[in-house]
Amino acid sequence: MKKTLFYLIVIIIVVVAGGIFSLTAYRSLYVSPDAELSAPPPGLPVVLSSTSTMPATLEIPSLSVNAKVQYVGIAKGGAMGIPTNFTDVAWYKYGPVPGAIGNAVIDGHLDNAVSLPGVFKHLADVKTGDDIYVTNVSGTKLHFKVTGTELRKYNDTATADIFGPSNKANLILITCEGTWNQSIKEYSDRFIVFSTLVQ
Amino acid sequence: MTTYKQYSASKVAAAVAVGVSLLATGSVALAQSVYTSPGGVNYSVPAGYNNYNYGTYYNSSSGMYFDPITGQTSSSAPVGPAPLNNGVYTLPAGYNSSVYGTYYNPSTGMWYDPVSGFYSSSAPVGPNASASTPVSTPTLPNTGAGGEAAINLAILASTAAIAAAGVAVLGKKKVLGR
Repeated sequence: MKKTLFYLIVIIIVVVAGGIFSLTAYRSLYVSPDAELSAPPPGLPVVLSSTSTMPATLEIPSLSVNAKVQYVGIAKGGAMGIPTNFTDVAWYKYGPVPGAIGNAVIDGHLDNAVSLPGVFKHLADVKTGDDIYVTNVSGTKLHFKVTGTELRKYNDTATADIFGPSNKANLILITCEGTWNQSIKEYSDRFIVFSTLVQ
Repeated sequence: MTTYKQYSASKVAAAVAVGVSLLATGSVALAQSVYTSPGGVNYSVPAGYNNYNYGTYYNSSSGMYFDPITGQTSSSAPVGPAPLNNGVYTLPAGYNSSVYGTYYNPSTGMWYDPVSGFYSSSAPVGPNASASTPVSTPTLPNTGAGGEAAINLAILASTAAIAAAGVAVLGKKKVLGR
């Protein structure tokens, strides 16, 4: 009887440990982004684009990045949405498409929850003058040149120069950077790459 | 699917005339009330206008509608948000991107705000002068989780070890397999 109880306890421990292991592995390797708003909030500038001009892939040869592009809006907390995995990037769909006049914004993950590299793990290594290519749905390949980079605080709300209007066809890339803040579960900074369409 | 609203020449002319007269008298600029939209845009509404549908305001005395985000007036009631396709608005034909989230049709001289379905012949001037944040923009995305790696790796290692030990005990006593 005692042996049966002992084995039963061991089996329960094995099952619970296996469950915790599986759950932790899943949460570490897959992204569960905050839910997005179903429509842009009133007052938010929205640029309409035809499906054929929307981005399909992003390439940064100097970083060996070649990623599929997801489309995101705004999370309920007010931040730009993020890709649902660590290998794709995400285009801000309420802004202009890459190649159109204005600031097209694409973000990507720095890393996942077991520190495996995300698509933009080495984005901070990009240099002014580096090439970025975006191929849209219709197959047109657009060429951008990096014009500069910038590090900003995670809670910087002055984002009009990123998401606001511009008279140039810009492409802006964003990822996390800095030190981890456990209390808010975010990195301290955001690394931003500014680039402009090559005519 | 697209929506398109037809305007007669007389209606457009009337709207233009009212818009011009409003601008000329400066009545649009005489803001009396200040509000903040759910999107975080501060705007003001001219005197005499009361809440109407789709975030717009209506002046029953003048019969004019007011779109506080674009700062435009119109004699036509807003028709509601444009249909969404893959999360972006579907525009009526002939409209090109303009300012303050509006779209302009050069052949009709009309502006269109897809958020409220507001058509106007007066040029958008944006939220009125009291706005401290002229345009709302999203905040920066959270695109990293690596700071939790130490905790997660510790959990993975310990639970794997516990499970493996348990399986070993059960296997040794031939509870599992043969």
